[in-house]
Amino acid sequence: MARFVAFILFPLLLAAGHPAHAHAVLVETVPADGAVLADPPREVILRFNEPVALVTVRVLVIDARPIADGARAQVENEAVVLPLPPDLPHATYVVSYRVISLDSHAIAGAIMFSVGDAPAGDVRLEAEDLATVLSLAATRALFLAALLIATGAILALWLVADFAGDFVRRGRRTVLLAGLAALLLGALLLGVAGCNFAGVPLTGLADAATWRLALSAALAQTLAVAGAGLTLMLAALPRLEHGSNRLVAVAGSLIALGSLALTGHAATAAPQWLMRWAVPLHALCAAFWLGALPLLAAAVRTEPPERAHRYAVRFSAYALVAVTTMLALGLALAIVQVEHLALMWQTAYGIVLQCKLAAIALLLAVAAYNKWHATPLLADDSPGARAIFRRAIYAEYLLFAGIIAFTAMLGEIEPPRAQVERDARALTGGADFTESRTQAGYRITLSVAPARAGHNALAIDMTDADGRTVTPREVALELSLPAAGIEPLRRHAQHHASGRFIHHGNDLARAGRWRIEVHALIDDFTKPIVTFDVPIR
Amino acid sequence: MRIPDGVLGVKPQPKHGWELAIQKEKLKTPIVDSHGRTITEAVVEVTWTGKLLDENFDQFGMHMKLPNKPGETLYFPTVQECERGVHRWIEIPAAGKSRSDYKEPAPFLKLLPKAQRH
Repeated sequence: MARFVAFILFPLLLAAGHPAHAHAVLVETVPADGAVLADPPREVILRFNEPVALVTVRVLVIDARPIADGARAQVENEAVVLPLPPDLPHATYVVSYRVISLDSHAIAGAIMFSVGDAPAGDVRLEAEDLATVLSLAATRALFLAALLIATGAILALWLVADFAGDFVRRGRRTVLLAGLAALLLGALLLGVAGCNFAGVPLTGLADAATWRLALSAALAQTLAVAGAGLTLMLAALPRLEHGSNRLVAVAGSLIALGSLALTGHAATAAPQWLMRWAVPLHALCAAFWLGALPLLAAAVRTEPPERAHRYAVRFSAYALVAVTTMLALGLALAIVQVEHLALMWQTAYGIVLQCKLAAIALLLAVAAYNKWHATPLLADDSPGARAIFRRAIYAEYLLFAGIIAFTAMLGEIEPPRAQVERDARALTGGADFTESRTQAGYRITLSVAPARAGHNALAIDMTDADGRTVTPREVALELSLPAAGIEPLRRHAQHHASGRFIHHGNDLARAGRWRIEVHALIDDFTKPIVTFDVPIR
Repeated sequence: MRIPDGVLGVKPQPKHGWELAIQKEKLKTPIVDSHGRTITEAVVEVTWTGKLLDENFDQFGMHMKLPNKPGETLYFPTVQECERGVHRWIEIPAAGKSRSDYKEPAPFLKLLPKAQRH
């Protein structure tokens, strides 16, 4: 009965989550980036693809003299409107902005426009304070570790040990320490996140405004719910002998884990029917495993061999289900976040994910060793059996630490899925580079977004001499940067549902004048080839 | 291999151990040839199917009547389907470019004016 009620709470929590949102993306600005205007504008409008919270917005003359700031800015859903002083003199202006999207990430950028003259040069974005970004990742990793250990220990006590008296006595200390650590680290995480949003160094922790900003972000919700769950667990801890307290403890554990469904770019990604519950369930399986480790280590140290063996076997049985579920969900999450396999090697997110997968592979190897070699040894009580088992558990601790660190890093890096979405949207909205050339009676149009070094989306459209759309059988691209000696990279564009051929990738990794050759195979014997000169900033 | 417009009377050479397939199409306007016969259809595609090892080479022959257009270049786009992969020798140079600018240019014939006899 207790288990049934406890499991009801989990999905209810998940149902309370937000609708799906990705990283906020700047969709439109008035005036447009790089615009040259005859008359001075009356206001600046920044339109994003989802509602955002404003941190700062400033308008400066190109020589860094400020002329307007966020005090008079208004946020209407997904638009930030900033009125400008009347009659701006002829000059080039920079609009620098910083907002927080629904998945708790700060989006900063700048656009330029000119009144009268042509704009000059490139705009430098504000540099992130490196110490703040690293502290954020570290705090997030420590919080996650503490949360998983605390919640996992309760789950392990429940499933593996059935809240047996001596286990509860030993496990109480683990839960207490990990739970308190999680609460403190959660509060610290809120502050450090606030510094990151505001773009200030860690000294901002002393500033009340930083905390107010952090509380207005979606992250605060996750931490509040996690805090509530942890508090329930800690409250029920002293009297875990009574049945009702056990229910409260397990409920608290599930609530704390469920909080991970509320924010973060994984849980808020599409398809929501999968991602929203896959993230906390993935965490729950990991928590159970991690939380059971101290339990097993203690059992091996103090219990008689047959009992220790029995607990190890019971853990193994549950672990098999937990690990399989965790791996399956992890795979699904990775596929959704990375989207195109090539991006695993081309993006920072992909590299960190590979490190995490390598660590998981090692962890599984140690776990397999534990299950099939170390555990049976316990039954015969061979002399070194306990030592071997304990060492295997310490190895698992170490690998878990690495895995959690990588997971926290992933939470900070923009996943390839978001990059692809951003650039695909830019392609339909009006790409940064578009050009058409005619060859052999066919008109081929190449669009590139955002035409900046890094991830880009390329779209190819084709029409015949009468203007009718032509769908080639295949579209191949050859990308080269002659000035830097980059030989042609051969890529294939995929046929998109919209009818265009689109290629996503990080091939245009450097700024310069790229040569893009489009080979459009119409039929077996006809293949118009068109070359474009594409400037990449 | 695709036969360009204007090339008539195409007769491919059969090869021992190879299958030969000829595809014809009706001409838009029938042509009267030098013998006075009316020609209503022409060969547009010739396919040889067989096995040729990479370490060998072979020759594939065709008889054809070339059009009377001195100075013109006729392209014969050819698709080579191998055990692994397809090579399409079908790239036709754009204005101002030469064959050496392309990776898989189409085989071609440049028609020269009739030689003057002394």
